[in-house]
Amino acid sequence: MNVIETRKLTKSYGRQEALRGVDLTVKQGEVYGFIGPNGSGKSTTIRILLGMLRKSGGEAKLLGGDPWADAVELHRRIAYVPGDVTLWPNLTGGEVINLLNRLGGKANTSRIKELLDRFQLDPKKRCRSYSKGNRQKVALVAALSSDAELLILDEPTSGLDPLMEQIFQECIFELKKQGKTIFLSSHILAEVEALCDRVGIIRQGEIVEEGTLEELRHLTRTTVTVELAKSMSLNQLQGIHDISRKEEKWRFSVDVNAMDEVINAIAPMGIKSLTVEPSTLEELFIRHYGDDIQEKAVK
Amino acid sequence: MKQFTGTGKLLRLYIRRDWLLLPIWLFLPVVLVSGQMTFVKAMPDWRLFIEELSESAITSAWLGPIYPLSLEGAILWRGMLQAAIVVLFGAAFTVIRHIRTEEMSGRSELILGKPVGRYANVTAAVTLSCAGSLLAGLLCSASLFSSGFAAGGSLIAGLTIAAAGCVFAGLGSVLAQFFGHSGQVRGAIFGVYGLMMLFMVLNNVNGGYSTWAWLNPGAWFRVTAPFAENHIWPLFIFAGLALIMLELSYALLNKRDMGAGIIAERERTKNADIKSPIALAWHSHKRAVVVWSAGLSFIGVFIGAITPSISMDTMGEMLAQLSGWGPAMMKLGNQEGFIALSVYILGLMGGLSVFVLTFVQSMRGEENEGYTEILLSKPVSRLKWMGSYLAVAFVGSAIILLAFGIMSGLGWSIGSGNSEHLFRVTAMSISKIPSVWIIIGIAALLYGWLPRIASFLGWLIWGVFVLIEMLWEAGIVGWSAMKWTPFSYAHYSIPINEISMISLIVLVLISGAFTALGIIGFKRRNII
Repeated sequence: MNVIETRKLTKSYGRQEALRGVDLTVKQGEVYGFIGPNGSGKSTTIRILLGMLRKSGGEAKLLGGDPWADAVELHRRIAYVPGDVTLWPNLTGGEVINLLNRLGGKANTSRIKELLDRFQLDPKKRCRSYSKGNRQKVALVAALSSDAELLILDEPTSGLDPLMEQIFQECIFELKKQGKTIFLSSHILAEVEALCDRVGIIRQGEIVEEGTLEELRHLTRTTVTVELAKSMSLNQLQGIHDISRKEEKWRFSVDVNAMDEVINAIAPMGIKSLTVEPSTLEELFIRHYGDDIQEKAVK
Repeated sequence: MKQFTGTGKLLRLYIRRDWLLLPIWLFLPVVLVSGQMTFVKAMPDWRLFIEELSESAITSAWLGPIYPLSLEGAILWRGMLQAAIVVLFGAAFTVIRHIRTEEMSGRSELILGKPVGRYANVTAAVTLSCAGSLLAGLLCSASLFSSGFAAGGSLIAGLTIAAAGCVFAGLGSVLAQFFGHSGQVRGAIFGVYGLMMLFMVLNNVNGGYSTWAWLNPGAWFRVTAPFAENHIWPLFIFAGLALIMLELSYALLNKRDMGAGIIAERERTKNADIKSPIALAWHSHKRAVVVWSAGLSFIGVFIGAITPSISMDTMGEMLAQLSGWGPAMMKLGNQEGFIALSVYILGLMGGLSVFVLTFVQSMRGEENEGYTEILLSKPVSRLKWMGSYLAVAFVGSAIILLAFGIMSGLGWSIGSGNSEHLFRVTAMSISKIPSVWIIIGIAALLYGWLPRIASFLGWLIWGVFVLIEMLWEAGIVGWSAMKWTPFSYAHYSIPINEISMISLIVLVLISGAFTALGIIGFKRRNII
């Protein structure tokens, strides 16, 4: 069953098009990474899924229902952490967590206590005195302690320190084991790589790439660093790019389907050392984002 | 001087940010003064009229005697109070906005991270407000002078209005150092002004020229006496007072952390169990309801207590013929007329209307801050969120009016030794509830359908209602025009036992309809 499904989803504000046809499919039980540069439409998509914004066109389904019309019923089954967490300045963190849980049903006090301990959050402080990271922890504890089937997290860790980031990842793994679905919009690509089963990249209001990390890697090149005893000219090989050389050490990237030929060609040259790195999500991301920059430069 | 680096640049930024708000309080005073001028000049025999008004016990308790007893004096008599109120609130709120609201949002840190002196922000904000006050005052001067009044008197009258703004700019900046939340600072300003209103009434019942006049900027023209003695020296005292307040703000600024107030937040020892949108709305606003109830109760006791000292002399014939106002007041008698007018001004037109307008408009603030989104992402319907908020507005305003009525009635009963007044005044106050609810309904309707301009339109509509009221009192428009305002159905000129229950019920139904329409609009639109 698809937990989230959008087809040709559009949203425009007057003449400005925020979404120009977003196709998303998030399956039950998976952790889905939603990445894209600033202003590409991540939050707009999420806010349509939450029923905050009315879509301009296309289809959007959340847990089989209509995010706008069935908002209240659907929200019983989801938990949401906004990207920019603002909290009532005069309430304490504990009061906010309690309120958000009680609105959805019961508050699981032992689970809340456990999460407060793990995230090292003092629930007696007023929200106005929390730092950005601590406000995010309040929203995370509220979301993680609920028994929602689907968690929609909009850049939930942008203010967390690396230790807390680690704890966040542990929590997400636990939820995944319990069979919950997680929709994670993030800028921290290492986090997406560590957590996500599938990834969608949005650019200028359109999904430009969607698939598992493995599938996405096939679209790009592998980086090879090799130290050769004999000298040779790599330039003539097919499917090889971005060659750089420092004394005996070569560094280049290879198209995935040209790997065999390249390895065969360099094998007789006396390999002293060899490192092969699969492309990182960052490179994938930069490839798409880079196009953007080039386009703008051309204009 | 390092402390002031960047003041000029900040001042320019503030002017740019306020280009829509500034003109409102810069030009409204001159409109009010000119309006009063037109009104007095339109009278067939203004001399007789102002003599009569000056001697009326009801009007003189609120507005004091006319001085000098001339055309100029008749214009100052009401115009100065209104102009001063606009300028002092405009100046104080401008300062609060640029000091405390900026700090709350964190934008101040962005500015302070730049090479900007510690005092630059406060100095620029106070300078803007003082310059605005001066401009507003001089516009009034120009208006008076251009209609043929003496130059000296016109100038002093304008500067007296400006002085009210400058002192309140200083006061706003001092209070903004004390409280961590801009709402608290604005509340404190309202509180200070409420207290000053008592001093004004005390001044008026003591003949109009007592020391009390120094304690309300609306009465300062009795100290400077434009077109009569033309005293200049009090203006220097007012300017000095504003400067002392500015110095005090600097001193307080050095004593506190950025983002915090001098008054420290109390630590919460136990977390409250807030579990529904209505509990949250009540938790967020109960303080405002309590403060308004307490404040109006305090003023109410005072007003009730001085009511027996209002002279029961009948008013002159001329006044009795003036519009519908005179005969209505004759019917009520001076004492009941005075208390009915007071309950009307504070419980409806100038007090509770403002309370509910700001209350309903704060929903937009919650939405902008993202609080609404967090709640709506839970299984909370839009109807429930907005409905909870408005329910607190409906119930809260009723509680305040009940408390105000009981305490005013108690004051009068104790003062006069007649316990019947308690019930009578309480009834007067709670008869205002349906009209106040109409204001809630209008504000909710605007918020649901036109959220961006709801605040502006809300104040505009309220302003039109107040204007119609003033035109009616002046005899320029008839009662049929008053019927268009929600104020007229529980008007002070109608004896309490003659108020139509059917009208009140219809008002409640209309406010319910407006509210429902507002919620429908809110359900259909995007959340910010």
